[in-house]
Amino acid sequence: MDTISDFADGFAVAATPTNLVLVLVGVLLGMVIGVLPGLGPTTTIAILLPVTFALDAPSAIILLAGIYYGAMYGGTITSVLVKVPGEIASVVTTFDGHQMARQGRAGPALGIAAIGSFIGGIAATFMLVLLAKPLASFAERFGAPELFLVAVIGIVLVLAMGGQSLPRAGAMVAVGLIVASVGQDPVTGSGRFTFGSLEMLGGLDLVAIAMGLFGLSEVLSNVGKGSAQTPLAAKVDGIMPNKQDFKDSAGPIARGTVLGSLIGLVPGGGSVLASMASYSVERKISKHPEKFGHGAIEGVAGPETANNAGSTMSFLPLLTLGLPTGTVMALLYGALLLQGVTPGPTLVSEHPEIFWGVMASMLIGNVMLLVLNLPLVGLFVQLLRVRMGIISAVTVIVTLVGVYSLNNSMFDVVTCIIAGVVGYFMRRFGFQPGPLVLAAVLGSILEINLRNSLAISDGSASIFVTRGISLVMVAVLVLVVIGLASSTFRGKRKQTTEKIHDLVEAAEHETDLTADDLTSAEPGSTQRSRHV
Amino acid sequence: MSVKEAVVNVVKPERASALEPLLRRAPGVVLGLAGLAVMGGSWRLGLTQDGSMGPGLWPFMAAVLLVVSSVGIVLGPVEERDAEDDATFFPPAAIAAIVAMAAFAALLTTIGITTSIALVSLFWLKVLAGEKWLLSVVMSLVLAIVIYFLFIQVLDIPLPVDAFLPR
Repeated sequence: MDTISDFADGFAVAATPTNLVLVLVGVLLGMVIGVLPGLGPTTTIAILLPVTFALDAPSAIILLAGIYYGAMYGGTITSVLVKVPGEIASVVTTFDGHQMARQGRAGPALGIAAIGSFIGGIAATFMLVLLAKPLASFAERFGAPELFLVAVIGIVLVLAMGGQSLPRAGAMVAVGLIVASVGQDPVTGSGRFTFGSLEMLGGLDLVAIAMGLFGLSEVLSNVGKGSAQTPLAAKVDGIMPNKQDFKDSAGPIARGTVLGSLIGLVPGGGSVLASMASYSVERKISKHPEKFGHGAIEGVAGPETANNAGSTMSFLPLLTLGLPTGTVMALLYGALLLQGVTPGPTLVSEHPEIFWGVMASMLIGNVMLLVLNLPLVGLFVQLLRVRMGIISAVTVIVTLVGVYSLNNSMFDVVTCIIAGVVGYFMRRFGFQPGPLVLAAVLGSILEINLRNSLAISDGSASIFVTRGISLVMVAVLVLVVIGLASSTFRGKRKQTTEKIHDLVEAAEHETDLTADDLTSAEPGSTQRSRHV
Repeated sequence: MSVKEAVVNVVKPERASALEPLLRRAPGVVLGLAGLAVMGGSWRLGLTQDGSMGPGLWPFMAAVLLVVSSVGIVLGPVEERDAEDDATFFPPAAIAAIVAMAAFAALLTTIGITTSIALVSLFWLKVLAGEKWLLSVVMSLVLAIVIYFLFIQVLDIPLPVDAFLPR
């Protein structure tokens, strides 16, 4: 009953005229961004963070969440119609979605993707609501050692699942931790790596860094490159799938919901792995695996459901444990910090309007997406004609104005531009900035909780194994590390890493990737190292 | 073939093959050196203080991770890079883009937000993106006006406003 009344309160927050408009703006903006080449949800959320500063906390997260799941839908449209995935999680949809479009079935492909995403999103929201309170009240028992270990497990899982080699991901995490340690020491207050600068004493602004690493570096990577010709979009006639389509899709949608929800919970999982896993599962259990890659509707329904369920579920660790499980969640963590709210076990009880408001807005947003998505398909396809140069000019101006407005500080602008240049070189050398931002966000939590833990135990590390919950966490951590070491040793991790690598490349460079590239498990089948 | 072309033809492949492995290992080496520098800085901050963790211990641990990872990067397989990537590794357009960003930062606090947006976006659209004059002028004016109204009038963010415009 409590949950129902809390949810009702959430609707009261989400259904105010301002928040309804923000959900609508968020999902529309998200869909546009999902469609536009070169702009993903991460970049957009990064450059729009300062705009949310002027909003109250629930409204800010409602807007950003809308952008996030709106982009998941938007990416599907171009994957199906023109075989250009707008964001990475939609690459899998090109395999069968575009084949369906070529067979004159673009409408049912988009229809089943929208219905699957809707079901996945709604089911995951309800699961999230049911799990949130028990998880948050359990997590309220966490002390400093447990909070430290949760963050360590989060970082190790991101290392385990990242789309780059272990040393590269490790280096990015280390740089993020070092960036987080710049400024005042949290215990003694003395300056660290400030080089005598007063501005540095306040620390490097994480939002400015994220805006540079994602927004400006993306622009620098594309500047001077000619725009690709707009591919010819497939025609969309009827959008409703037929009876047989629904029959074929029911299983994949159900499995996609469960799989996506589970993977979304795991740090480093998120929508990309969810859609990959769903596609692999559907192909494996299908009576006609040969149909996959040639227009099987199951290959659209499953992954699309899973990626929306995964992206929805990834809010749970953020809002109940204060643990961002991926880059977008790390940026939302930053958005909450901008609002003066620290995500953690007490968020649900201390700021119920944020948690329940965002949950209710997700339901409203998913309905809006289902209603708006299909009628606007024609308009979205036209957006593919917008040239990269114009997108870049708008991105740069919005980013730099936004970063200045954070603290009215030119120091933040300089930090952002330097981060942009660093991010540009990181991309050129095949480093992904996600783990860096995640570690920069978690860095201060890790340090303060480690120091508090050791202060409680008079400097003895035994505190991590003498408390029940933390002992279990240490065991989980050991298992994860053993799993990571063993998969690295057997070369399995390399295969997964390269599959994700290929997906990233396919999304960024519009290269052809086939269903076989993703699902073949033979050693060496994906043994190529690529530069992203 | 001129002497210069002949020299370039002979020297270029050798130079490329000699520099290529170095360039590919460079990120690992740079990160490793940065890690060592941070270790040194952390050491000076103090690893312990009154028997507990000092201000330098946490960054020192992160720097150790950086150094270990950089060794893995240097000794690990190198990333294959396309010839096209090499040719455009740091193109003049990217340098011009960085200069434009820095110019925007400088102009923002001196002449105000609207004029600086109009000027820098005009440069970006015309010179960097190669758009036509009409589209560049219209787009840059629209962008300046939209941002002025959104950030200053609607969101009321205290940005430096041009002298000729109301706050």
